[in-house]
Amino acid sequence: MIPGRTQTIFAILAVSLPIFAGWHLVAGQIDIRLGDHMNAWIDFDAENTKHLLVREFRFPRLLMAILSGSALSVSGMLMQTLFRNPLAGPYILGINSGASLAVATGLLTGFSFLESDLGLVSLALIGAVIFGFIILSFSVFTKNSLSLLLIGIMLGSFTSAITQLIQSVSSAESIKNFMLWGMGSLQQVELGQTPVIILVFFVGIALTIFLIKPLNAMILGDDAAFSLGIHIKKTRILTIITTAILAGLITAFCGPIAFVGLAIPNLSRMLFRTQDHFTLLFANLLLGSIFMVLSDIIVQSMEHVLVIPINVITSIIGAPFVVFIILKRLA
Amino acid sequence: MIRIESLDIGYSDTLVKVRQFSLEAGQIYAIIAQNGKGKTTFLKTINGLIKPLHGSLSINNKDLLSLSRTDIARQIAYVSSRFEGIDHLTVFEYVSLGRTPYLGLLGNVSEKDRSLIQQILNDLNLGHLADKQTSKISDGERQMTSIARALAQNTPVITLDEPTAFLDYINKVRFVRELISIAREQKKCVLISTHDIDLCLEEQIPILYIDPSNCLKQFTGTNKQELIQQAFSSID
Repeated sequence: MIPGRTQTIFAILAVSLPIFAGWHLVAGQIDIRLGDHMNAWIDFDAENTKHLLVREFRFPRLLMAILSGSALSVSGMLMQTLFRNPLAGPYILGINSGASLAVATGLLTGFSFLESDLGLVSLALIGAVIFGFIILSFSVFTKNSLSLLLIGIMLGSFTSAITQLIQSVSSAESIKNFMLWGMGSLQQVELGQTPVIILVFFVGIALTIFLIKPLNAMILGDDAAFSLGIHIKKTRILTIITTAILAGLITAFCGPIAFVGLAIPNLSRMLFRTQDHFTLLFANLLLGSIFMVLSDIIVQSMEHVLVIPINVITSIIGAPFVVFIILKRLA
Repeated sequence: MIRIESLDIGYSDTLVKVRQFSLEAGQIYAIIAQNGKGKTTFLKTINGLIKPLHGSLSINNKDLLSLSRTDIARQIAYVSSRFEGIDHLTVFEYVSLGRTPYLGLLGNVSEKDRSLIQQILNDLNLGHLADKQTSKISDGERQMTSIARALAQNTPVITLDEPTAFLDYINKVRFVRELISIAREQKKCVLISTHDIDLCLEEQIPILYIDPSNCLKQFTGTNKQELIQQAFSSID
């Protein structure tokens, strides 16, 4: 470890994030300056459309870009260490599928409690936790990382079949809602929902802090970690719950977002050349945020021509990067 | 150092029986047995990785079964048979994981820990590898870093499961001599399992073996023929 290098990269990232965030705020079809953003908060005028746009659309959208990027990257980091597999992630191992299935049930059956924010989040979290434990229990039977990934993909196919089954008996309106959600979007969140999201996000990050030391040892394998004094079972369960909270939260509000949770943790390790989860936690928070903010700037800047779901951007960048990781591992 | 009273070891059926045994500080011991006879199971039991079926086991007069996970980790270190290295995990980071039982919540190593780790690396002539990724060094170097990690754990007992299995002849000799000098100079009790009978006899390492009736015994003879007769079923 070279502390000087690590600190330099952190400094660059920490400076880049606010710059990109500022760019994100002014990007987009309607011309809104940073000054408008300021005024919308300190001198709010309910008659001013720009102020309303800032408070109801631009700000929540930026916040969700930052939170989704951070949360998905951190949950990916947790899963990759838990399964000792750099190709693990909340999306590919079916944690998202669990949240999706639960949300689909809520949106498509249209119970009023389930359609409320709290109902939606609770459902997504429960779905994510259940699927987390399913994949964890499969991992007891197979140490083979490829088998585990295949099981995750099968879980995903299975749930999407169930979801389609529910769709076939749902009303056109609820199907439309669900399709919109399923494309992945940072724009569905309203200002009023942000406090709950921020709260749950920080719960997830706080739990991750408790996992730093155990996860550092867990990369050596169960026996080695155990002989270093780590409680393996406790660590595994807490890791799955934390992953599910972070991934489930984002899936509930933004829909399933692909590749961030898989690619960013790998990028963090490559860039910082470390397996220390203290460094990696902050690396993932920063890199994840920046990646999502930049992806969404691309979406915003094309909005006047065409509306692209955020998943298109994350996949176009993420998928080739993941192929690169696989090839690099084989080399 | 390690004291054992009529211990039955295994997962559900008894695999190894130990009547009464004690292993002393400042000494290295080698366990020799046929594959599947329970060498690894024995080492794992001593490390608290597997609960014994019956009997008692103490390290430094402390009953192993009554110690917390962290306290066991401060008494005994375990090095598994092969460490293949991990991408982006540097040698320094790997060795510093040995400090885990002494670290606080965030797992940050202190300045004092850092200089201790550097000292250990230098003593084993690994100082120049500190920033190298553990996946990009040789097998011999990797086995040495495993010792460094065990030393960083600062335990009176170090156990190593077949540490010489993947080394070439020169590295085997070097590795074993390093262990002998660590045991003597740092007054540690070092316990390895191995198939390198000749090497153990040449280096005059006290040998423990698991006999055909599954009992762990200390070898008292001097030549290979005797040992093979006692420890293995006939070759024919």
